[in-house]
Amino acid sequence: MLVFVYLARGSVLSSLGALLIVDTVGPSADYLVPLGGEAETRPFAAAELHADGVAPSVLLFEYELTEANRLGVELSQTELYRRVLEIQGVPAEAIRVLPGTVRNTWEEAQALKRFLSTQAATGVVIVTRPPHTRRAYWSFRRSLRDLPVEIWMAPVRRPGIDETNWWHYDEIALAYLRESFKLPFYWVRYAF
Amino acid sequence: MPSSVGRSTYLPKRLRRWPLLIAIVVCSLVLWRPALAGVQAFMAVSDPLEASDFILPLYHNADAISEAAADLYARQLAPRLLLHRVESSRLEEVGLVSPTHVSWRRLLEARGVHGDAIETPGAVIRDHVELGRWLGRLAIESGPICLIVVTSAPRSRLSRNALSEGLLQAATDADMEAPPVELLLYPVAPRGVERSAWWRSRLGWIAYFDAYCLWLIQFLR
Repeated sequence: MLVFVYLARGSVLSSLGALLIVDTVGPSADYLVPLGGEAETRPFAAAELHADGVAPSVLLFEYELTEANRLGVELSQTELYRRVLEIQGVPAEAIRVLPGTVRNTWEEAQALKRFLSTQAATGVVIVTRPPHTRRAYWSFRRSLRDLPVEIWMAPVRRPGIDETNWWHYDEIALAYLRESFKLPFYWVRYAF
Repeated sequence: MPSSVGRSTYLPKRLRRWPLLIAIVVCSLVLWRPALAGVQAFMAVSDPLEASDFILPLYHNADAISEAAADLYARQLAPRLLLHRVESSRLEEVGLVSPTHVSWRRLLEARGVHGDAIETPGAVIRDHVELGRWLGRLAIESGPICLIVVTSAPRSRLSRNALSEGLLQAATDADMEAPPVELLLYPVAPRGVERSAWWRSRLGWIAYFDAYCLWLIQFLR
């Protein structure tokens, strides 16, 4: 059995990768929501989607401040996202920061739920890294299930890296493997 | 009476499992600590320290590693620190963050390392294999060097493997058996992780989970 799995590892790992990715960027939405944790890619992708007319506004979350943020040595994650969006051409008035500090995907989904409960929105596009999309989709769908809001997922792909070769790149491989454990953890932790 | 025969053979089998179960529980209770210590011992490799030419901090855990590197410098284990340039990020390109080596220089200077003692060669290095290769070439061109490599404890085995692979590549390029480079690994526990009891913090579990994933994934490539 183990020998078979080893010999078929390419297919097994590709299938795992494919299982983790949800790619459903659809018609135009009300808000783009880049999730936290990767200022290097997600706000840039959100700015591109904004420029493509996918949604007119971008929602950001507030994150806990680090020691370096408090000392003023580094920009906070929220501020970094905001600056990237503005540099990439998103007007300041199209960016909105949701109140309340969040620490993980589930709390981001809850913060969005609180905000959308007061809005007449019909669709949001969640922007995050590819292996995170399945867990994020599950979290947002579960949190927003009482609201008439469609959720579309926009995985931020890196050139040349996808579900067929992710295990060849250390940091990308880590993201996929972590998600393989976090996804069932979320199912158990937040299902009820 | 087939049913009574089946019952009489079934019961002793069930009973025979109990000693095994008890043995497993007892072993787990007694051995969990050494087992978890073993998880750490396998990944965290270290060498006895001696006076060297350079201290080479790897960019794993900025707080803990910069502190340890500055401490080694203060103890005069090496007169110079070697930083390396990495590929620039999009955030750097739009001017929102400093290049990695510049941030590290600031950190080290803030921790008391003299600016003149920090060297940053011009080459851009993508990973630790390439860093090893670059060090190998440097030693082949300018003579033997000894470095104290300050690395995150969970990643130290992986760092040593990658650097050694790079050194070997440099030696092969130069038709040599091995380049004249001595690496002394100095593993540092990440901030928030107790070295002798890593399992007590969530960060410790994440650090060793990541290290083992990276180690195992090499065999799947």
